[in-house]
Parts: sequence; structure tokens; C-alpha cells
Amino acid sequence: MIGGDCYGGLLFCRLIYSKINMKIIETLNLIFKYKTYTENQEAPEEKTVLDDVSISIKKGDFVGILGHNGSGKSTLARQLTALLQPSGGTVFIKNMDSSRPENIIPIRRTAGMVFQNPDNQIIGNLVEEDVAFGPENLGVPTEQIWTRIAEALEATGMTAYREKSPGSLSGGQKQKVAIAGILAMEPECIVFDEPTAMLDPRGRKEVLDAIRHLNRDKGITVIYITHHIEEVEHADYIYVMNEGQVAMEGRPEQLWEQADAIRALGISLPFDKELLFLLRQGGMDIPAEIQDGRALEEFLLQSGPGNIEQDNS
Amino acid sequence: MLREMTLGQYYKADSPLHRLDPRVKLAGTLLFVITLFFPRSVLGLIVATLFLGSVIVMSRVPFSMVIRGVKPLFIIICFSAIVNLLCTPGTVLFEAGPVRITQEGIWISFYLVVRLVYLVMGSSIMTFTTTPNQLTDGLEKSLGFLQRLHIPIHELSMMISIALRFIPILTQELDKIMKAQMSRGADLESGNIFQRARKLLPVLVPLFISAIRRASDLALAMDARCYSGGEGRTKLKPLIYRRNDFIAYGILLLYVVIMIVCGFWIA
Amino acid sequence: MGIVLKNISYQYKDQWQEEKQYAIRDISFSLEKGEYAALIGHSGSGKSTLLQHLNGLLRPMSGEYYFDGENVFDGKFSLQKLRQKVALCFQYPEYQLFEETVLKDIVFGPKNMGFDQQTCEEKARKVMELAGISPKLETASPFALSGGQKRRVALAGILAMEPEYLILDEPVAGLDGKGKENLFSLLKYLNEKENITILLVSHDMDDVAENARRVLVMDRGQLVMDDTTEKVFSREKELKDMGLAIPQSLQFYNRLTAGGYFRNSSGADIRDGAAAGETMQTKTRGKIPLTVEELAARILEEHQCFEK
Repeated sequence: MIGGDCYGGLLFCRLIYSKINMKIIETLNLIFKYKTYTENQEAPEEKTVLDDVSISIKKGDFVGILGHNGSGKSTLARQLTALLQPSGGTVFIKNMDSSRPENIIPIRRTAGMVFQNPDNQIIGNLVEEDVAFGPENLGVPTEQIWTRIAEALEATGMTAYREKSPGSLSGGQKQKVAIAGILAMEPECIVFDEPTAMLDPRGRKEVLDAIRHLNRDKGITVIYITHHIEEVEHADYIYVMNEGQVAMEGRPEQLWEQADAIRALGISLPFDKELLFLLRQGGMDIPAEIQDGRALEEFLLQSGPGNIEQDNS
Repeated sequence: MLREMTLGQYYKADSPLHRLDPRVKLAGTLLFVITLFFPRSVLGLIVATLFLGSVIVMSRVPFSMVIRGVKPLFIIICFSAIVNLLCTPGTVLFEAGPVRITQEGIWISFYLVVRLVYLVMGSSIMTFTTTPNQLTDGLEKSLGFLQRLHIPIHELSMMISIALRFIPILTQELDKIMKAQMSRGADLESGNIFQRARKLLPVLVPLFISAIRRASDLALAMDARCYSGGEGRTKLKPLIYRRNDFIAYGILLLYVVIMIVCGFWIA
Repeated sequence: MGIVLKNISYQYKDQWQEEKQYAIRDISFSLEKGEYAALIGHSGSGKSTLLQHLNGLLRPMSGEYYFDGENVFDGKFSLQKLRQKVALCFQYPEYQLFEETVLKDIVFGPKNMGFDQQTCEEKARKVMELAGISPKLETASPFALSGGQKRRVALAGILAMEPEYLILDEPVAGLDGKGKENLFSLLKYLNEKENITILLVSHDMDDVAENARRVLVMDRGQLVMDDTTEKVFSREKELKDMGLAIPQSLQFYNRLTAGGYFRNSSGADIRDGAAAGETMQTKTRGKIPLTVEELAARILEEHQCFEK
């Protein structure tokens, strides 16, 4: 009997261990508040930015965090990279508790962060010097820094710009330099805080492609924060934030089933999902398994007049 | 004005001077400037001219560009030359009313103009051949001993290096804000200096706010990249003296000795 | 009348005042009162240089600019007057806020135009209501507002000058869905009810298609297309060569048309299903769908025709 109990306990421990191990980031009832002082008021006003947020992110996944401006998504991003500490609840990054000061540097090594404004995160005066900044801070020996620069620039497709000054690059290229700067620290996970918000369509595409390449081919866990739903359409999992809370979560295809709810949160649907939504609302009978533009196109062409014409001829 | 300032701008080229250790160039510039102020002697002037000339040739920076660096300081140089020309007592060569020009006056203002022009050219050659980062690295390493006296040299040089990076960004921003306020009818050009200063408020407030916002963004980005001061930091491009640097120091020493001889003994 | 540009060219000087490069070249077009036009072109095509000319911030090196029949750069025309009539809203206009209170910031423009305090405040209150800024925020610091509110205050500051022409450079950049919707409905109101001419610069073709009635296309400093929104977007291939896309609904529509869809409804006269190109759409009797709503309506219409 006793032996059996022991065995059960061990199994339980292992189960927990493997469960935790698969998750690279986990927040438990995370709360973040700050105090503001206004002119008219004597007492500080307390603002709750994150209210009881529990998310967990699996290693190797591409996770989207959606939300309109002011929904708390940027604050959450900072919590995940130990740039902010929780007021309540806990944040674990690779089993490290972010509220412990000795964990801060190891956490930032594990989870890098790319910000919105490309100009305000480039420190070096040359591309290679900027990419070197992280490894320099970590005390990586000089020869190794050079190999890391070469690898990081290769991974983001910026090798040709190694000796250029950041000022001469386009917005999208600057953002890729910023990504290379994080990559050179060899993180396991990168948090992107609206990395394309200030870019033109071309830059947006370049950066998105680079990020997806990192996730797919380099196995880096990506947490992508945005209010453009199109950019996380292909994510493995999506959290939708509203008023500091997780309002919805699920795999993308689970979310599309609740198009109404997404729209109600002030987030516009991607073009093809919106079209499907409007067609179904207009009374068209479209099978539930049709979920994207390509499938809809095929469906329309097959069921529509075009097909009849082909049959006749 | 800002567009014309060549001082502090890097000119990309591959020359022996570009490859020198920034510490050599810093020391060289300092010594060159000091020797310019040795007593006046024609021989000394010739040696300095030869030295500067060969350095410019060696740097592969176009001469026209080096000259352009002097342009913004043209008025200051002319002004001090004229003051010296008119106010030096001595053997009178020419006199008309209150204007009196002396032989000594001509010499003094001639030397002054040459010294100032050489000073600007010499230091711009340094900045043309050294990137701002190399420069701050050089300063950091040369003044590294101050760190032991608890003077935060690493932090200071990091600050200078970041400031240099943000100058073009903030210049652009200034231009944009000025245009935005002008299109709201702000008149930034007329009035006396005090009126104009007041009128600049709509430009300066947004500029400062933007600078502060950028600074706080940058601080966060540096934190995210594990920056925690100079301790334990390695360098991508550590400063190591090579053979050419020692040769350069030798030449420099020779030049200083010749200048001392020309200035103090021969004169 | 209105805005007339004739062969405007402008060159920038490089760092060393040498090697001049044309930013815009030989641009001619006119903008009538009440229009809603969009200017598109990828980054570096000269759009922002052109905008600055319209507002008198840059002086063309050659060419003329007429405003209501008067030559703007003949030396007699007051640039102050031009800037009041033709207002320019820069990208991220919230970065130009500087006053202590929202109201003070909004009256900055009218004050510069020489109106007295009371008139200025009246104008300010009017535009605040228009822009949907609560009167309670009058005394608030503009820096304490949220991003979307700041943008509206900045825009109100421009509207308070009561311009007849409003030029906006990427007005919705950085705004989320809701903020974007609000701003575009404000622009629509200004255009339809206040008869303000709008020239919109945008990278988002869906926004352009949904709002503008006329589209100007710039490529490498030159104006290469100037036509109705539908006609411009029916030139898919040419736009693609310039690195520009067409609205998503139109892309989808073109693919369906190429596949032989849309033959029973208003586009029924198209028989040669060879390729969905310009020739096809010019033949189309019905309007081509520029927005997702129009596309959905079109498909539903076709679907119903087919069902019968």
C-alpha cells in the first residue's frame, strides 16, 4: 500500500514537472496596478491595468495577444519580460519567478523584447554595433560576439547591411535590426510589442516574414502583440485582451466561430472572415468547415454559375 | 546651419588614418592643437603646415570637405582677425582717422587666422576619420583611470554615444514640429530675439516631450537587452594597439620635438 | 477655382549641398471644392514633399500653384491665409500638442490667424463637439489623454482654423479599429456636411477604397494616375509594378470573375471569362465592389439570381 502511494506521488510530480516544462511562460492571476497623482486630487488614484490574467504559453508556439489600444496588452508584454514586476499573482518564465530580483537578468536573457518604435530601440551607431549591444552586456567574449552577429543578421536577412548606419535604413529594416539585436542574445522566446505599427505595408510584410521564419525554422517561441488581427491569423493560439482581462482565448479557428464576440470587443475581423460573416448573415448557406478566403472562393466557384458553364461546355 | 556643420561627421574611406586606434588620434589632435600655440615662428608654421597637409593627404578625405568645416566659423575668425589687426600697438604702417594698422598687428592676426583654421581642420580630420563610437570608446579607455576615482566614465561615454546617435533623429523631429506649427499659423521667423524665443515655445515643448519619450523608450529597450552598466561588459571592437599605432606615436613625438625646437630655440 | 498645381518640381539637397535629387517632378493637378481624394504611392514616392507644397511649407523650384485663381508664390499672396484655407494634418499630429490645457491648444491656430480670444474659444468649442471631445476635457492637460483622444484634440486644433481644404498624412496610423472608424466617420461628416475638401494620404488601400472618390497615384516623384477610385483600382497590374496593392475585396472579386462567377447579376454581360483585368471591369455595368460590404452584397445578389 505504502509503495503504491509513493509511486502515485512520484507519477504526480512527474506529470506536474512535464506540464510545467512544456510551458515557457505562465502567468497566474497576474495583477498590475499603479498610482497616478492628479492636480486636483490629494489622494493618489489607483489604476488597475491587468486584472487577474492567467495565460500559459507553450514552447515553440506563435501566440498572438490581441486587444484595442489601452486594453493592457503592452503592460502584459512588459510583465512577460520582467521589465515590470507584478502587483499581485505570479509570472513564471521558464520556471523563474519574475518577482525575485536575482531572476531578472536570466529572464531577460530567455525572453527578449522588440518594441514598436524602431528608432527608439537601436542603440548602436552601426548595425553590427547595435546587434552586439546585448551580447556585450552579457559578457560574451569578443570572437563569439562576431559569430553571433553573423548568425543573427543571417536569420533576419540583414547581412548586407552589417556596416550601415541605422539612420539610412527603412523602417522595416530598422525593425529587423532590432530583432537581430535580440536574437544575438540567443533567447528562447521573443515578445513583439506591435512591431509593425509604425511601418508601411512593405515594411510590415518584411518584418512579419522574418518573425514567422524565426518561429518556424529556428524554433523560437513568439508572443506577438497587436491590434491587427490579420497579423496573428496563423498563430497557434490567441488571447484577446479587454479592460485588462483576458476576454477570449483559443486557437484561431475557435475564435472565428465567435465573430460577433470579436467585433463586440472593438476588433475588426480579417477581410475573409468579415466576408464570410456578412454572407452568412445575409442568409447564404455556407458549410461550417469553410473558414478562409481560399476555401470560400472554391466553394463559390463550385456551387456558382461558373461551374455550370464549365459543365455545359 | 545644421546642414553645414561638418564638424563631428564621419567620412567613410579606407586609409591608414581611418585604421589608427582612436586613442592615437585623440592624443595626436590634442598635441597638434597644443603645438599650434607655441611661440610664433615662420619655421614652426611651415612644419605644422607640412604635418597637417600630409595628414590630410593620408586621410583620403577630399580637401574641399575639410575646408568646408571652417566655413561655419568664418565670421568668428574674421572678427578676431580684424580686432587684432586694429588693436595691436607697434610700428605704424598705415593710418586713417581712428584706424591704425601696425606691422605687428598684421603678423598677429595672420598667425591667429592660421592657428584657428588649422585647429578646426585638425580636429575635423579626427572626426572625419573616426566614428563617434570609436571616439567615445577611445575616450572611455584613455580616461579609464578616472573610474577608480568613482567618476562614471563608462556611463558618460555611453551617454555621449547615445546622444550622438539621436542628434539626426531629433533634428528631423525639430524640422517636422516646426513645419506642423507653421501650418497652424505659427510665425517663427519675425520679431526680435525675445519675441522669437517666446514663439519657439510651441516647438520646444513638443521637442522636449518627444526627447523624454524617446529616452524612456530607449531605457526600456536597454533594460530588455540586459544592460546593467559597465561592469562585466565585453566589447565587440576592443581597443588594441597595433604596430601602426606605435609608429604613429613615434611620428607624433618627432613632430612635437621639432615644433619645440622651432618654437623655443630658433625663435 | 480651388487648388491648381502646374508643373511643380522640387529637389532636395544632400548633406553637402550637392547632387540634387528630384523629390517631385512636373506635378500638375487640380482639386475642386467638396472633393474627397486620396493620394497613394509607396514610401519615398514624394507624397510628403507634395503635401508640404500645398500648405506653402516648401517653395517649388519651378511651376506654379494657384489657389482660387491667385498665384500663391508670387510674393503678394499671404502664406498665413493659405495655411488657414488649406490645412495640413501631419502624421501623428498628437506630437505637436504643447499647451497646458486642451482648449488652449485648440485655440492656438485661430489665435495665430488673428481672431480675438472669445471668437477663438467659440470656434474651439464648436470643433470639440464636432470631433467628439467632451467639454469636461477643456481644462485637462492634453498629455494626460489617451492616444486616440490626443489625436482628436490635435485634429480639432487644425479644424478650429476653419479650413476649406484639409490634407491629412496617414491620419489613422497607430489607431485601433474603433479609433479608425471614428476618425473616418468624422472626415466623412466634414466632407459631406461642412463641404470641406479632403485629401487623404494612406498606405491602406481598403481605407482609400472605402472613403475616397478620387485617387491620385505617385511613383518616383511623378503623378502617374489621377482618376476615380474605381478606375484607378481597375489598373491592378500597373499598380502592382509600383509596389501598390488593390483593395482586398477587389482582389477577391477579380479572382471570382476570372473563375466565371458573376454572370447573372449586374455584371452579366461579361462573356469572355479570360482574365479579370481592366478591360473586363470597364465593361462592367455595375459598380465594382471596393469594400467588403459591397462585395458581400454583390455575391448575395449573384447568388439570389442564380438560385432563381
